[in-house]
Amino acid sequence: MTQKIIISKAGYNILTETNVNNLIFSSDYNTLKYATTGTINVTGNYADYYHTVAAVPPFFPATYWNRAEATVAHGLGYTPYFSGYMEGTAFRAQTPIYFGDFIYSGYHSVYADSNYLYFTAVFNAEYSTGTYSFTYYYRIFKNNTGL
Amino acid sequence: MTQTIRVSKAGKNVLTESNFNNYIFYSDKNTFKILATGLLTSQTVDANPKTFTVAHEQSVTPNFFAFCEFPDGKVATPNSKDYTYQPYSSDGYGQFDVEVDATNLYFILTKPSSNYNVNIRYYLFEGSL
Repeated sequence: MTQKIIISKAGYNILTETNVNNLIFSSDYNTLKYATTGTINVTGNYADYYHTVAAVPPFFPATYWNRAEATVAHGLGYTPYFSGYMEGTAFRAQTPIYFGDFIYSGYHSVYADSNYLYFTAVFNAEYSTGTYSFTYYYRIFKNNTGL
Repeated sequence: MTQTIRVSKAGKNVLTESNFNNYIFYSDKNTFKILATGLLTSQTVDANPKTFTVAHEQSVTPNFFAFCEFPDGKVATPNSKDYTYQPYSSDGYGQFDVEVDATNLYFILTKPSSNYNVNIRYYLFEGSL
């Protein structure tokens, strides 16, 4: 006889319940397992832009395209299940996130490999001097994606 | 008396701890169960867009998540462009999107230029969309 550990929701019989949604826990199913969480800033200098788009007066200013990156070493030795979030002016959104209007746009994303998480910011701005900073949040699970 | 099963993190007292985040397991709260997972290896993106279809074999349209490994070894989440993406650059492979219906998962990749290969891992979770 196969032995299991099952905890059902209130009102459901663990001996007969077949709908997994009515179980709190069942040893038949894997779950996500936390490894770590954290926060990281991606910072840079506007002067390090890689491309510029010339102004088109009177409506469009010159804009400067930037790409910046920060990494977090997760130390797992395999590519884990992960999720990333980016902090905006009044929100936190799951990455990837795109935003833009008819002049400005940005793309924020998080990637992983067997050693690191990579947080990337690609955006344009009106500035070519000064500094910028974006805040990201991440969760890393111990589940191995096998990738 | 209501009985619960609790496993706290090291250093936390299961009899007094009130912060749910300090529990490894707490039977009052559901666990997000993984119903199935699958791996697609060496899938060639040779059209724009290219769709890889997998029957999920669930009775409902399931919760899902997926990851795509591009040729540079970087793994991306759904709706992501590849790691090398930047406007006004000819670098990059394409974008990874995922859709689901009552029958299938659809992994959709764009191909702005050359063919490339990807590996995809997907997870199906309990509950339905």
